[in-house]
Amino acid sequence: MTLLMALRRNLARIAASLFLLGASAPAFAADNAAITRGAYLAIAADCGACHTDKKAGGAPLAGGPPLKTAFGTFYGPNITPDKQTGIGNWTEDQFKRAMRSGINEHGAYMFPVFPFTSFTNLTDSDASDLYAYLQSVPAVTHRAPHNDVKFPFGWRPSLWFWRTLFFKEGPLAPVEGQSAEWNRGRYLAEAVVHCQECHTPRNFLGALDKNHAYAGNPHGPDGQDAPNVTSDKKDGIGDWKLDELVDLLKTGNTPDGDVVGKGMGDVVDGTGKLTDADLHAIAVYIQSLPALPETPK
Amino acid sequence: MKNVLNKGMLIVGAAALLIAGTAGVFAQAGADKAAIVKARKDFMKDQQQAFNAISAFGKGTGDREAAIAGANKLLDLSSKIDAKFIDTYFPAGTSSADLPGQTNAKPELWQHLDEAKAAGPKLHEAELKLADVVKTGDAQTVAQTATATYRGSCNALCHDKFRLPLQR
Repeated sequence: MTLLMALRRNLARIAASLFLLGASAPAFAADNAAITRGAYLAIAADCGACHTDKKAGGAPLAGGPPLKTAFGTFYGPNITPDKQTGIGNWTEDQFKRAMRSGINEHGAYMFPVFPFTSFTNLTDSDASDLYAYLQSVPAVTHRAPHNDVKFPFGWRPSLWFWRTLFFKEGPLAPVEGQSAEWNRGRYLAEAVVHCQECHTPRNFLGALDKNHAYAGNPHGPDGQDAPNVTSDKKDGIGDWKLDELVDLLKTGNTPDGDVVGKGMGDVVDGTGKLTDADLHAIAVYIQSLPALPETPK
Repeated sequence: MKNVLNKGMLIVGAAALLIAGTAGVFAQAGADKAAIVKARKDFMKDQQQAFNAISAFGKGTGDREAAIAGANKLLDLSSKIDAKFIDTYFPAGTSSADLPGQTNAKPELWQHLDEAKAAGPKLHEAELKLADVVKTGDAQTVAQTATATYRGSCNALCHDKFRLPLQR
């Protein structure tokens, strides 16, 4: 019997198998290109910094690392596709709503310690790609500890006030008159790598003080002191050459031969894997930031 | 009358000397602290220069001979960072809180002196491995190992916890 004859004879069975295969496949079509693009974004955004408990040897993206803030200690949740303890049951729409509107799967407001205030600027397709990537990583059963939020900040409905006052939903419109490279750098810095979340000071309610964007935050996450990266020559990095900034984002090396540590070291683990073009774009944007003095302690 | 005047002058003179002497002691102590801060900064600069020779080879702007010399210099310097070194170069009263603007050494160092004292031998261990790579590795491997050593040892053992951020 030839192959063709065998196929014809078993057409019904083959069709049934394909139908069943389709029925048991994930709710979305696993597009490898989307997963690859999503992986790139996840590295740039360094999701692992908050969602992988490296100190405790936790599985990638399975949640757990503590993040100490003035409002309490928060624990990054499991964002692997585990159905019980991760985001395996989340639809793409639910994921996008979390990333860009700061609303979780139950329809409740998320604490802005999750930087949806920056991720709100992600494009639709980038958010889709991130979803595709996260649904493709190994599912791990692990429940992160409950957040330990200081009274009265733990009452989620109160976030309505915070959001009304301080949350500006995206997307980020490109700026006319600026180059495509500058706009790409701005998008990466603001929406993906979310640099402001560490380098911009915050007001007494923990919202970014955008009038002093990038001027440094001496009371940053986990008590870290993030420096001024505006173009101020004395307090910022205004005296750095473009290549030096690119080198820092790629390797962590500073122009005077030092190497960044702690939080920025983790960031460089991510930015170090970006394309040269993207690094150049981020550097072009950062170097264009208006000069501002150092945020006082 | 003359006796009283003389006695008075003697007392005033003695008091003046005492005040001057005390001020002098304080001034000397201040000068001593400044000298210690300068000495430890110079030590760190020596380490930086040695490290830069390795980075230069990694970037392709320096030669391997200079990099090897740098690696050996690092080993020589880190072998000096023992408990006595910490006691000598980080005495009480020389933190960034005590001498703002003059030093980047945070008060945290003095709250974790045991850790600071244990750092030297660990740094030395890491630098031995770096030295091996510098002897035979290609530029890219040397660059990566150098950065990893800096982050994993210089930063992780001390700078991250005990040093104020850069640019200040």
